[in-house]
Order: sequence, then structure tokens, then C-alpha cells
Amino acid sequence: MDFAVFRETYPAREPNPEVINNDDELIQITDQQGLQYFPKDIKNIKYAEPPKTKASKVNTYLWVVGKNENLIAFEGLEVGLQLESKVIKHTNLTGGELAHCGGELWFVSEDKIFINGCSGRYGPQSGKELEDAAMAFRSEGFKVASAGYNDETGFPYAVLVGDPKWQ
Amino acid sequence: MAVIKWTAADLDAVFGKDSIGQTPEDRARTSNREFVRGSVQIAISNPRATGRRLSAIETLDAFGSDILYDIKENGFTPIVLKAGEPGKTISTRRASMSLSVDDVASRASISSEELINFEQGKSDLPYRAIEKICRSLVLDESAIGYQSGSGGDPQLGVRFKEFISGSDEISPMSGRMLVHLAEASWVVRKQLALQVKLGHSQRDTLLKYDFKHNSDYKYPCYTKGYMLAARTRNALGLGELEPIESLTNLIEETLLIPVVSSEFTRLLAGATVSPTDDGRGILLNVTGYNSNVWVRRVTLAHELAHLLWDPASKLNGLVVDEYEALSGASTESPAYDEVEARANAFAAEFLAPRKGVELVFKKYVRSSEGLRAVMEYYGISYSTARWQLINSGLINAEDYPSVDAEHTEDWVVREEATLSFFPGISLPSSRRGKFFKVVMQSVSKKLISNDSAAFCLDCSLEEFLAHKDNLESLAEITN
Repeated sequence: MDFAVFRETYPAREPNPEVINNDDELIQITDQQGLQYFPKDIKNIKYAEPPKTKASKVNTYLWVVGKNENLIAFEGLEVGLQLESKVIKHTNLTGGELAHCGGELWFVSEDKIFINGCSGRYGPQSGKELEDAAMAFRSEGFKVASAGYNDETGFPYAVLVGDPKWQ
Repeated sequence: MAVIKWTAADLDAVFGKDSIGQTPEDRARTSNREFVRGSVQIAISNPRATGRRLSAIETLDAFGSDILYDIKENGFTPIVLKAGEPGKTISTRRASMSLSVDDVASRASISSEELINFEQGKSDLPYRAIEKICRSLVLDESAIGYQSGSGGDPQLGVRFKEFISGSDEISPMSGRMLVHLAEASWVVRKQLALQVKLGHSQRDTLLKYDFKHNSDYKYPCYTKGYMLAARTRNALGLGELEPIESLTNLIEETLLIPVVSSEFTRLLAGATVSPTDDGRGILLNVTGYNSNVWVRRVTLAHELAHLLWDPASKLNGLVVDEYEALSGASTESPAYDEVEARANAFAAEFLAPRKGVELVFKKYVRSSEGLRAVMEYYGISYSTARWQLINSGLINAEDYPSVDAEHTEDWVVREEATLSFFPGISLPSSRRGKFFKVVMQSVSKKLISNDSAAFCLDCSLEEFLAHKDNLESLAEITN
């Protein structure tokens, strides 16, 4: 599955309004401020190991399968400090527009990425959706491991549990 | 760490808009919302989730407000603070107790390979399997993954290890038997914890009666047992001569001491366990000699002596008593043990004070009739009644009057009347009695969820819900 098929399979939806805390979370960040497009020319990549705890989440990127582009941004962008929430949210990548899916991403090496579906606004609604998103990332030439979906809580796993399964 | 300031919107988002109050604690108490936990994260309950449903208070108690605050962002949050958890805690605890992978895995209905991979952090296990493992290792299942060690008492772990190989005091136990004993200890631990949440602390209760551990075992220590029995009767307002109608009731209801009855190995009579700082409890075998209610009462009184009076250095987290120790320790045999001798003397004098024994016995001409009358009046076993008569100088140590040792049914009713019959639902004997009542009270106050109550009672949620009205009425819960 590539991103085009993913978009067809999982229609774009509004961000979950229940988790939008303030209007700043709907501000569209610009390319100059650090919005990037996967997989084209991603600059200043910061690498990290897949996190095993919340505290070990470093160099985290946010990803969103937008209507036309695959959006990513480093979570620690300086522009975030100017926002009311003091950190960018997935809706800052879309300006609050419709999107297909979203989560967090870590560049483990030049050709390996680890993703999860940790987005209160655009998170995957099933394990299958997250796996298909991982396949779409793979279609761009990366080895991808997904944190997977936790049926026990009905949400994606936030961190890596067990060994990563690179495919 | 910065203190989180909850806004009204935050509180609404986490506890629901129908909850009331300005703090997470107030909101949790009034929240109708449930949460759901898996092995490594918690979430607001939702129809997709298959994990353990928890009440709002239960969740706040287990994880604190900072973790709950994180839920508002995505609807869920990870709870694991250290890499490798919860497998690391399980692995360390299992090794400290010398339990095999097979022994523990089989109790959680998983394969040995699954348990090994989980302990090594290679794969995950469903939380419902993990909490069963916690039960077998006397760990706090609500803290597993979140709190390293999960509240496991290290001393208790060491004691279990000793029992695998056989200690000076008791015969070697199989891993399976030890897991059974550990699970009963978990019930004690759970009951103590729920009692505290309900505002009934065993520690405070025992202090109120001025029960303080006593290290005086000087020879002849049976005299110390008699003295402590008299002190105990006096503190509890029992008359000098009166029989104790229901020892179970006195121990569980008045002293808030959990008594967990189960079918242990036939050698074991009872045990006193200290699984947590919340207090101590008694494990009681309902098979073997204890199937006679009079013997069972003596065993209970013997364990009560350990529980009330033995210092932690003597208890070592767990004292296991075999039937043999209960019958022989008061003699000057090679097996003489001062701790057991004091507890035996306590048990006899607590249940049947010598002064009263003498009054009853002297009403009869034949010693066999007098002995039987003492047994019936005080609800005690043949050997205990005989020892009290010998120690009162009423019969000789060589005398073994021929007496029917079988108990009378009135004593069975007095000791077993409390919540032993559950129509329509099958609860293990270890979950009946006061434990059952405490669980039902906790559910009614939303301290725990229906799902957690079903786990505590070792039945399915469906079974629990189908019989909940009946169970509430048995536990005398009024809504």
C-alpha cells in the first residue's frame, strides 16, 4: 500500500474537537518554521532510538497523512514555544484541516523509521489502519517498524513494547 | 517536578463533565467514568478496549494525578516509567521466590515460552494474564509496570524460597503448593488494602486495643502464652470464663484481620503472613484435621497469637504451621520451639481459660465426660482440652481419656455462618467470608470497578454482573 491507496482507503476526517485546547493549536506552521514533506528533502534530521518509555521519547517528529501531502515536523520546533500549548500539535501541521491519519515518528537511521499512532487529533482508529500507514511509509523505501495497536486500551501503543519488527 | 495546575476543562476532559469538584480527588470520587488499563498504558474506557476496566478512584489511586493529566491529550497514556517493565519486576520476583516458569505460567494460562519472552522484554502479555501472575507472586497488580518491584515484600519472597527447599520448621513444598500459598497471601494483601481504602485500618485497630509485639519467650514460655491470652481477652472485653462464640467473626470483624480459608496440603494447618505494611493475615487450611471445626478454632487462635504478639523478626514475613507443630510444640520434645509453644499456650488459654475449664470439668464424675464437656462448652479440640486439664492439675499427663472427638454442629454454624453460601455462583473458598464483603463494599463506593471485583473474587465479569444484586444483598449492601 502506498500513500495514494492509503488516502483512498481511509478518508480524510476532521481533527477530534475534544482534544483541541486552544485556537493556537489550529495555526498553520510554515515551511520556514519547520514544516516538511515526507519523504522529500527532509533537512536536519535528528536521529533517535525507538522509545521504550515516555521519558525516553527524544527527537520526536509528528507525522500526518494530509489531503495531498505527507506532513512531518520536529516536535521541538522553536515556533512551538510561541504557542499557547508551548509545543506544536498535529493540527499545527494541517492548520486544523481534514487529514487521513497521524502519529509520531523517529528517524532511527538513514533508512529506518519507527512510527506510532499517537495523535489525539488524527490517530488511527484501528490496528489495521496503523499497519497500513506503516506500509505506506515502507513504500517510500524505508525500513519501518510500528509500535502497533493496543487492543486492551483501544488505542495505539505510545512506545515500543518488545523488540521492534523491522520490515 | 513542576506541580500540574488542573483547569476545569482538564478535569472535565479526564473525569467527565458530570463529575463535581475542584481537584482530581473530588472529581474521581464523583466521576461515573471508567478507565481501562493494558499492560503498559491506560486510557479512558471505550467500546474497543478489552483490558481491565477501572473506576476513576481506582485509577487515581494507582497512578496519581500526573499520569491522569496526560490522558487528556490523546485519550490514553503510557504508564511504564522504566524500560523492560513490567517483565523485569516479574522476572526478579519469580526468581527471588524460586518459582519455576512453568509453575507461574500455568496459573496465568499462558505458555512458558510466552512468560520467558515477556520477562526478557521481548514481547508483551495481556494485562489480564499479568495480573494473575502478580497474584501468584504476591504483588500489587495495580502498580505493575508503573512501580518497579510492584510493592512485593522482599522478606516474604525470601521466605517462600526457603519453603521450596524445606526449612528447619517445615517439610519441603512443591512449586504448585507454594503458588497456592502465595495466592492466598495475595488475598490477604488485597483485603488489607481495600479495608484501608474503606477507612478500616488493621494497624490502627490493633493499636487501639494496645496490642504491641512482645519478644518475651523466656522459659517456660507457655506461661507467657497464658499471660498474653489473658491480656487479649481483657483488651477485647471478653469475660474471664466465657466461651468465644465465633472466633472467625472476632478476628475478621473486630480486629480486621483477614482469614483466608483454602484447601492447602494436608500437612499444613495454618499460616500467618505479613505481605504488606498494611498489616498481617491468617491462612487457614480447611482440610485435614481442620475439617473438625474445634481443631480449626485452635489453629486460628494459634495463628492469632503469632499475628498479635510475635515481633517481625520472629514472623519473617510468613510463619507456616504444620499440624504436627501445633500438637507437639507445648511439650519438651526435641521439636520444641519457643515461638510455637507460646502460641499453643495462648490458643488454649484464649479459647478455654483454665479457671473455666476447671468449673466445667468438675461438674462430672468421669474424666472422659468432663473432658468432652469442656470440648463442647469451649469449642476446642480433644488435645487442647486435655492439655488444659493437665496444666490445671485435673488429670495426669499419662491420661488419655477415651472421648468422641467429633465436633457438634452448633459450632459449625457459629464459625461458618458468615457468607459461606453463594447460590448460583461458584466462588473459591479463599474469596468467601469477609473478603467477599470487603470487595462488595469497595464496589458500592466505586473504589473498584465491577471488572476488578470479578478479578478479586476469581469469577468472570459476566458471572459477577449476572449475580451482582444477589451478592450485594448477601454482603448487606444497601444502595
